[in-house]
Amino acid sequence: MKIEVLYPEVCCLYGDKSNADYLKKCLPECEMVYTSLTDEPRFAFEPVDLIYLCSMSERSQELVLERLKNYKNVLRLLIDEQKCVILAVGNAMELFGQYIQKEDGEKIEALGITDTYAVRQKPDRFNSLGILSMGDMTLVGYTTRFSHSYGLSKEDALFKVVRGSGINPDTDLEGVRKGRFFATYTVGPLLISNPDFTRFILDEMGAPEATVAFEKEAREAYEKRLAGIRAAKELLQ
Amino acid sequence: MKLFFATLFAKLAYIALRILGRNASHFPGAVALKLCPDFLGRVAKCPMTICVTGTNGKTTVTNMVADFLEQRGKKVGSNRLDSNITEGVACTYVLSVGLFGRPKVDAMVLEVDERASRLILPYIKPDYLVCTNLFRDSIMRNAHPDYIFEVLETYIPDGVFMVLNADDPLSSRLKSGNERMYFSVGRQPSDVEECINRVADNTICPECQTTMKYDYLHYHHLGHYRCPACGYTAPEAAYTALDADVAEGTLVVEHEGEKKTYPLINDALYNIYNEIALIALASKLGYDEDTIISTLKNIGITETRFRELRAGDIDVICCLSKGCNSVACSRNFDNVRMHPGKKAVYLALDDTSYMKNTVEYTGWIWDVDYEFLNDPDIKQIVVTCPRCRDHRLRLLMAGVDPEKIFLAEDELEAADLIDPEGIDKVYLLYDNTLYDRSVKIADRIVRNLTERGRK
Repeated sequence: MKIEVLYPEVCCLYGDKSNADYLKKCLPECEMVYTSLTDEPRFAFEPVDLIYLCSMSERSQELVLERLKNYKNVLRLLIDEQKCVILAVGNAMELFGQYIQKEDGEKIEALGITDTYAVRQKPDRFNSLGILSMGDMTLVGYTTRFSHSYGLSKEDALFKVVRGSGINPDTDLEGVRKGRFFATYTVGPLLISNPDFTRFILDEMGAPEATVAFEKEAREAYEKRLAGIRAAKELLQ
Repeated sequence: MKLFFATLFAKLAYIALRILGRNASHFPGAVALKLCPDFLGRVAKCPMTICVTGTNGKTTVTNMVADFLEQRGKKVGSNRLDSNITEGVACTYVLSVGLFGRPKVDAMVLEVDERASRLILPYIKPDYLVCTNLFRDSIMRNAHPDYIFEVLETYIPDGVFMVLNADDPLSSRLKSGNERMYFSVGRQPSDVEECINRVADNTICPECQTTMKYDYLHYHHLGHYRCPACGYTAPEAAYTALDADVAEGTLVVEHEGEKKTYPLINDALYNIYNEIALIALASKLGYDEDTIISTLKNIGITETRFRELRAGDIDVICCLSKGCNSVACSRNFDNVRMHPGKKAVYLALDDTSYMKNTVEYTGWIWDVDYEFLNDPDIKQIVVTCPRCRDHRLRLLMAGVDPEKIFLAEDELEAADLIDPEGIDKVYLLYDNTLYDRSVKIADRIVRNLTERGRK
């Protein structure tokens, strides 16, 4: 098994890094590859099992897009042919859409792999807790961002919002799914906070035998948080 | 007249709150701003205005600068009570000016929240601005360091003299057109060349985006950096803290090639940064080295941030460890690890201001170096508050032996879990929203340990 974490020197905000660490704990034999902005991504020349991309600053989004545009066709192929799992969290999701509209109206062309587009609203920050569902699974999450996304169809949505907000305040759809490509505005310890979703990702990676690390303790923390968010008077922070 | 009435009613509000025994560091400022929205721009400028901002250390530096000037006989207005947003700053002005807005103090020393700086700095136009550093902070409020840099860069007025941290690749670039002076900390025995922290925010070259190299790295992204591709490097510091001698209580400082010995206020590396920032500023204000040295002997760290107690043979060290601020917590964890002795650690890190209506976001704990607590000399770790299960999970991920981890949601119950067997020190690390409770927790720990010691 091989996991490639892209551009960790800039894609490292909000505790997102913990998801890769957690997968490593679940898959101790797995090779972790950390690709910097000056390196050629491993996925461009050899098979990897999962590509992981975390949240970044808006300035870094432009830097990362500049790098990834050189591999746009490879990424499209990997997604269309479901060659590997891709997990993009926070505003990394926006890189795969059509464009990102800046505060001044300028549009930055994105990878164009998904139908969504993002609109920044800086300095207005959007912070919200959420309860999300995927099939029978209930997830807890948190989003923090300067932008909202639009153009998501029901068929392409990764999650349905149970409490909280979707990819924009007027929708109950959250995240994008395209085969084994999973993107969500949820930031932080997405996998650690949601043992069932970790199980799902491990299965998607082709590792059904892998155990969810510290599952008992993770589940206790999850249950407490889920009850807390269900009871919370406020979700926006 | 608007300024007169705003000042009058704000002063009355202050007196009323004080009579009622309530905290008066915010509301009087809100009254002044309500009655006179441009209050901060209208009050007359003090003979000297110093602002201190930055992610970590700004409260400590503000207090030290205010103490320093008072020791030198100046009458100082300062928001020491910790309200560093617009209302807090306005409140400080209310108390420092007469009814017609004329200053009654020689100097204003103001801690300014980075994000609130846009509503403060353009109006009060400080003479000097110290920026301690820029790290990631509460993600809800501060988003990320790039954003805070943009805010400060936009709203710090031209002409303000900047006192900046040479070791920080981000904040050292603030207001490049303004006159400036840098401080730094030189090579330390604990330094590394590669980052060992979970997060380092500003490690790519701002000119060419190559990952920078460090001749020495103190922590996270603070150190002596250079870009191997384009040669971009840390600016030269006017004052550099070199060797800290804890036993002697001294700090060697280099200035223009000469070394001089200053009193050491506190040996934590982050407090050495705070002290060297003060030394640099004081010299800029015209104080000579001997005056600075003699004044520093009478300056300490505020008690709400750091206290040392004793329970029989055991030291109980209480230290503010700001929740939601991963770097501040990592610094404290590193300090706990570095100090000699067998230790128990008590963690009360939840931001309790969230508890009433919502659930605190805990993503920040995954940016904290809990790995520093995975140390053979740390015998026990007690985690408390509603998110104690998340902290336990984080400790397990850091490789801490599950047998060492104890958990209780109630803070006082958790205090009873401290086992004195074989330990020399207890570290009580608490969020700033838990200061009052930390006093009770510390009392309980001291009482328990003293009673058990007697038995």
